[in-house]
Amino acid sequence: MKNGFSVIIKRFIVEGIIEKWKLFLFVILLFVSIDFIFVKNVSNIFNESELNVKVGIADMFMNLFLGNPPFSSEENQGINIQMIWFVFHSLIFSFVAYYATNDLKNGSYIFLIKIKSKIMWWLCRVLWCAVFVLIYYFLFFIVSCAFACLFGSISFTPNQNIAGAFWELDLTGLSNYQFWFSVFFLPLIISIAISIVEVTICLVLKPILSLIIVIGYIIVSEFYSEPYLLFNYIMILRDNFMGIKNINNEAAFFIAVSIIAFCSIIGSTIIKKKDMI
Amino acid sequence: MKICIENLTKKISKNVVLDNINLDLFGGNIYGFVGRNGSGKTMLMRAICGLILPSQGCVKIDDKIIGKDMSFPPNAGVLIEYPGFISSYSGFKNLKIISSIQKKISDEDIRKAMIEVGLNPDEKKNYRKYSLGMKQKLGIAAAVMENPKLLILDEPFNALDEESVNKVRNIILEKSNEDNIIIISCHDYEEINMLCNKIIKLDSGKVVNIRENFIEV
Amino acid sequence: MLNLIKTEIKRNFTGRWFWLSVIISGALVIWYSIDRIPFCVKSNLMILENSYPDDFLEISFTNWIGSHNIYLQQNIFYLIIPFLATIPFGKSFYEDLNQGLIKNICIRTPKKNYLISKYIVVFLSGGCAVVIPMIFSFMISSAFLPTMLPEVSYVYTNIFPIYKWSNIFFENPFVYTILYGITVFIFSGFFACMSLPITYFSSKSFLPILFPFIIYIVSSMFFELIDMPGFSLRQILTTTGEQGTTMTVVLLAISLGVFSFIPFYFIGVNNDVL
Repeated sequence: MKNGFSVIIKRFIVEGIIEKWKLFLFVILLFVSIDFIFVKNVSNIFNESELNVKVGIADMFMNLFLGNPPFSSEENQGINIQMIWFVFHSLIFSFVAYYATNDLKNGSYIFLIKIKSKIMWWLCRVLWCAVFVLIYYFLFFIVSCAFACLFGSISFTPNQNIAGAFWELDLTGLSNYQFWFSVFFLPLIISIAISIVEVTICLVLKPILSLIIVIGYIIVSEFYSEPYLLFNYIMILRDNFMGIKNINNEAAFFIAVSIIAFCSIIGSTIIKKKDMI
Repeated sequence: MKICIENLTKKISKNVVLDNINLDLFGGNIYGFVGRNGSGKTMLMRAICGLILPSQGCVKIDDKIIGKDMSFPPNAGVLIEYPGFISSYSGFKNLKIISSIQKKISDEDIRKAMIEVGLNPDEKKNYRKYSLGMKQKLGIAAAVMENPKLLILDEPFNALDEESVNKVRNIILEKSNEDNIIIISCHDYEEINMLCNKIIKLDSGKVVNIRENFIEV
Repeated sequence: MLNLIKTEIKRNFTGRWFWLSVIISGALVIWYSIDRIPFCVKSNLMILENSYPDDFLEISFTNWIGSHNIYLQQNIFYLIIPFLATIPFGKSFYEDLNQGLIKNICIRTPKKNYLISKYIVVFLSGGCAVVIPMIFSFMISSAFLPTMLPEVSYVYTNIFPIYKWSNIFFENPFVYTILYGITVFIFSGFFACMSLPITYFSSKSFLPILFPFIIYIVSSMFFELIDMPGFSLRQILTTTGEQGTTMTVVLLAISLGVFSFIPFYFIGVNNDVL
């Protein structure tokens, strides 16, 4: 059983991550452009200022996970979705859908018959989603560290000058724990949860439909601040740690873990009855 | 080993692909599934291996129901259509990964299986660059290398040259013993007559004929 | 070549993927209409009964799915346009290559005829799949709301004088609507065609469908980041995109056309049919 698990997860990692190195290269280039433009904008604004403001790792994460403030339909203004935030998340789910159920169609029944368990295949798939998202986030972290080393400062505390000048945010009283919980840990766990939801939907629908559903869900989250719309928790401009009166993001961790557990169980039930044609 | 197929029916999108099949398969025999295209041979093989679940009826292997008591047969080697291997690995590396699941055989056994089908185990070429025939041979090697008790080969002679056909034929005959069930399907009736001692004819998802075939030694 | 085009058109428009795309966008249109039109009708009735403070009627030109990019359904629609355009026929070239249909065609007609006809039909299918529900949406809103000249001083038209073609909107809104319809048709067609060249490098059928979407969102993000939102595809396609001029629309359209056609045609013509 243990051998089968390690073989299948190794296969998923080789086929779904290592062989897809070109996709990761594209993602790295994207992250480099995002960070480069941000660093340039910061230096343009603070160039003539007496303040010696240097971009830290925390500031680059803030730039990425900013999102939009809570939406009010009464103002009739609409939302201009922050494209960096949207692209970052859409790419994760695009790549997950890309690999999601391909191996079932590619004659990989040999592995299934050897491990003798569809549920093990499914659990390996869930684990693969978590590893993939972790690597994706880690790549951004690495790129941000590199930029911080070269052009800024290796600071894990957000810079109030940058936050105030760019986004009119007051970060006084915000602890490092609260900050990194909001900009790294929570987005990571929620992205893992949603990618597992997406893969679960892929068991029943075509991957492209599953991706459209997830993208629709992301956009609906922009318009409604509800606890079950998880992308609300990934927007700093809706974060209650930042003093914005919105939904409580401390509960988000438990919601995300519940979703992971629920989808794992649902997926096991579906895969047991699924035909491998 | 004994396989009992009881009232097996399978519907896919309102099409009946297997229609009330009743069959008993016993160890020590080589069964040949014959029939025209779309008669249900591959679907029946899939049902026996547990890759598809019946709409009605069941498949029992040694009194255990596939899909209920177990997901897949306990000791099976299968080649159905084109098998999927890791495209960036060589043939040997792919077989090594598969064999590491159950750890029944050594590297020497893998090499032997590859040589028997006509592949070079030291070949560094990636699976992605294999020809159709080489992919087929690797699939056969993967199916037979662990000496399975249930061996299912769907059109194993596709894309093979004459020499390879002879090799695969010898492998099938070698693997046949008292305990094993071997099921093959093929459109070449000469091969079926040479190899199989029981021939099962399917048409439109039904078993229409079962006959004994006495093979001359 | 005409026969080839007819065959491909029949293959596309009778295929289930085209209608799936239309159903998805149709569902968005209906959802938008249910959400928005009763509110507009009610507000118009209140104005006519003189009990509503703003004296401007909600009109059909500002209350259909293509009118703005403000509401939820419009946001979803505009962000998934590449999918809606590509789903119908975007992976047909992948299927032709992998299932061997291209071999049957290329022995009967010159390969360039096949490539050109494939490009034309994919373009048409992408454009139609997106624009048909838009037309449907405009018809629904015209059935319930007055079709009259918009009022310049009414801020809730959300079309401001600095926006592109705003003068056309206030003088001849019908021409404005058609202009945007044509723009969306052309760009959707080119999005669908972006799936063609990537097919040569793709071992999975999902990538040709995904590729135009990635180009759309990444290029939009990039141009908005470097402060050139006039070249952002997302801004160009929507009436409430603040930036963009006729020149940027034309340049972007030509770029998309060139980058989708040239690699597709020249790789196809020079490659062996395997």
